[in-house]
Amino acid sequence: MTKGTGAANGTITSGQLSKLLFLFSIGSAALLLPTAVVSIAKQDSWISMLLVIPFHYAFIYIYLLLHKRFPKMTLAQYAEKIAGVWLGKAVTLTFVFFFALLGGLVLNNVTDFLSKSVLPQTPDWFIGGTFMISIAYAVFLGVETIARTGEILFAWTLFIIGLISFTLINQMHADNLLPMLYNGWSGPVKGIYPVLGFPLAECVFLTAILPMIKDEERTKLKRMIGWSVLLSGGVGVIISFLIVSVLGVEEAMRSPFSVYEMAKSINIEEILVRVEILVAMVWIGTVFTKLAITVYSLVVMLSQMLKLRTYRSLVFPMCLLIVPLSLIVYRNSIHAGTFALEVWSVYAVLQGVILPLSLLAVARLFDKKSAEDGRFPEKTPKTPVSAGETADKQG
Amino acid sequence: MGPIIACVLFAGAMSILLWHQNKKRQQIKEGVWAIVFLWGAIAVIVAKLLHLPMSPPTDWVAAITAPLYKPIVAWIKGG
Amino acid sequence: MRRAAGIGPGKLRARLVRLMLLVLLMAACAPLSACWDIQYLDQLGVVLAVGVDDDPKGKFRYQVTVQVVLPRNASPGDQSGNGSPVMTISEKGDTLFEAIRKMSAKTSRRLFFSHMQLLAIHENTAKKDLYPLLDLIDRNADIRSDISVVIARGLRAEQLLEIRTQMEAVPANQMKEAIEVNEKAHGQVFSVLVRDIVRMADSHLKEAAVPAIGVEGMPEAGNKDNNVTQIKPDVIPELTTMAIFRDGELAGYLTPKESRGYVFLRNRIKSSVLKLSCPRTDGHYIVEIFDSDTRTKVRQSPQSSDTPLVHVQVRMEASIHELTCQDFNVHDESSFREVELAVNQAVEAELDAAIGALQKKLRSDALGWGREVYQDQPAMWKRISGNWNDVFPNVPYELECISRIQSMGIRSNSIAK
Repeated sequence: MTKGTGAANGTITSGQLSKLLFLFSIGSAALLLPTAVVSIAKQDSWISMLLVIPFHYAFIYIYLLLHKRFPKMTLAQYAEKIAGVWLGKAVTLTFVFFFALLGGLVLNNVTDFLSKSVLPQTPDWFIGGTFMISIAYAVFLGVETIARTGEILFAWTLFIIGLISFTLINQMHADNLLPMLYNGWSGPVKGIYPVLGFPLAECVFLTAILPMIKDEERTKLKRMIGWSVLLSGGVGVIISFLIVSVLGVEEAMRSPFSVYEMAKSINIEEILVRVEILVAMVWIGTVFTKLAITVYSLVVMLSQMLKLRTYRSLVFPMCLLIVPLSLIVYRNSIHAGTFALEVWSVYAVLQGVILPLSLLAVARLFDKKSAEDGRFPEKTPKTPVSAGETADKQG
Repeated sequence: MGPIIACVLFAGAMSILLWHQNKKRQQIKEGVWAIVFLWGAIAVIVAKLLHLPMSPPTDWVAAITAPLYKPIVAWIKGG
Repeated sequence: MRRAAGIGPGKLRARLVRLMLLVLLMAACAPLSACWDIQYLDQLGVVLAVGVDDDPKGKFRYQVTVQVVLPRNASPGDQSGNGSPVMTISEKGDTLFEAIRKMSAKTSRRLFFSHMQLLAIHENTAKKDLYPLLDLIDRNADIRSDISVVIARGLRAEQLLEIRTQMEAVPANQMKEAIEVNEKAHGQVFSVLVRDIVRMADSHLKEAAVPAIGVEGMPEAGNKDNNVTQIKPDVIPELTTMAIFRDGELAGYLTPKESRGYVFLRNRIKSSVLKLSCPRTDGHYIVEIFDSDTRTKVRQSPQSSDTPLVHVQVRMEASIHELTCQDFNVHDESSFREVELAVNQAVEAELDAAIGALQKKLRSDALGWGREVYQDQPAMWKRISGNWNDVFPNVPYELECISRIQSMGIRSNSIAK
């Protein structure tokens, strides 16, 4: 590996991007979200998850359109082109705040889960800190490394989800899903609300990652992303379906970690028992990806806003910041529940959909586009170099 | 007191490290910003150690978006 | 790759860096053993069963007894000392958790509940309210919810946990396995886990039903060595019938006939044995039902659109297992028809008895018919769910039993002629 591989830039394929998108959408969402949706839509939550899929693609389409106009720039950069330097920086600042908050929330989720289920006596900051060490390293290495890790995690995640779905077949009570549409369509439609913020609008991270696509892969992008959206939507439907049929509506509503509870029921002839830790493994893998991407977006946007030559110097301080942030971000578990269910969707949609949409509208209005290469400059050499001795080949 | 001193010392050591690393690569601006954010993070950690009352950022967000999310949630819970 | 870094001091430095990384990695493994959460196995007291009674002095709500394994005595081959494989500890408290924490005054090890098998509740305690007892198990991340629940009938739960058993070294195991054996072989009770009760509690659409255990013999004699050294034990735990709850409080027990009818209705029969009288002579013959499937459907009753009509269909596969009738014609298929009719009638009688007991005597919807109406006739349920407690005792029903006799074992004629 070249020492400077992925130092400031990397290139990823559209396949890798779609897998990252899938892991991002699943992480936190498929494991925490079903409770929220079930509490609104009751036994029709699977319909909600189905209805959400077109919204997912629509949101991502906005980012793709912006990407077409500014193929090699992240939002931090084209915001300045569209709205002027200072207003653009202000917009980027809101995104920086958004991603920092998101990182704190996600870290809070995973720390909370590990703390309650597995390591009750260990201080939360230690669990969070240990997690962030690996995140910091991943972000430091760059988006390529994250993408390759994502490919491995993708395979494992699919495998475990398939395994869990299969082994739960004998624990399903399909009649828990009846009666369908007890309160008409209002139930499933209202159930969409939590999903809008979590994970849909959070996919705005794509605005920071899309410029990293290899040039030759750009044509496949739409198709790959389409598959990813379908797959994550499908997994969401399957998990909602399983949750209600195995646990029943009331218990699914009451358990914050409903997928974990459901996996506790796996029992094949008393031999395949107590395998719920697989769910924990999937969760940690997907949350890792989500956090890595979030921190990466955060650091890239911040360093572009400050016109730095590389994002690497900010990785460590930002990761350090997210740990105490994860501890102060919620007062208690009730605050966590109500915030995630009620407020986050509105804030995330405002930040992740409305804001980019407005940028897109202004860009179209004034026909702004730029093929400028906004990526970070090549690794700065230690000593002045002659033309022949350029920096290391980028990954 | 102990943990707070340890944090400050740690911040100091990391600042020196960051400064040298970045100076070696002629990235002064990056080094400066890194140190700024580092001390910001340490400030938050120390505030938490001293149990200073800190308003969660989520409350700021909730306050700003209150006119939007309250009616939506009321509609979801009501109907 | 590292050409630019060069040879000489570069290589050595690279090696040094790698060595340091290795040391760092190994040091990082230390916290993996979870320093804060470390629990040594020999500092844990593994709890296998918990019993809940009323406080005899009346000062607290509950008296909780835990049955803790003593590993040195529990392994079958290593009978070092003739001690009992388990010991019990009792404490009183207003809630389950309070009593358990108070027990730390009497234990040298930390009580560990992850391997709990059995929860025994005394009938008087169950008459007060069942659900609060289960909140701890439901809520706590360490205690699993697949614990068998039983009602101690005719003796205190404390005494139940003190009976030494021969078939299994650990008494809690014997009782829990007994429920499963009964469920598979006789069908008079079926095992009910905490998880099942918790799910029933939520919807209030189905009342809880729990197997009851009593003893054969005098309970006080259970705690003695005699009980395991004699060939015939003085005391042995004995399963009785299902206990039915109403609004979370014990309402009553079913008779053996009603109990099995109930298990049929809940579709939990795995195999069961039916005794029928010989058609034309004295004597009996035994039919074993080895496969049974119960379907419940709800329609609207023809009388009024607000009354559900429940249709229960039981399909059974059976075979004759003990034949002592004298003129049973084993070469004519019509004798199988006769047997099938007899089986149908007998099972219908049991179902009738069970439904009658639940509707009229106990007035508790432990069958989950409320839930069936909710699922099959949601529009009707919206109208009547408010006063389901009044509607249920008068719900009309239809029973349909279809049985098929397959064979007669490996003999045709009986020697009992």
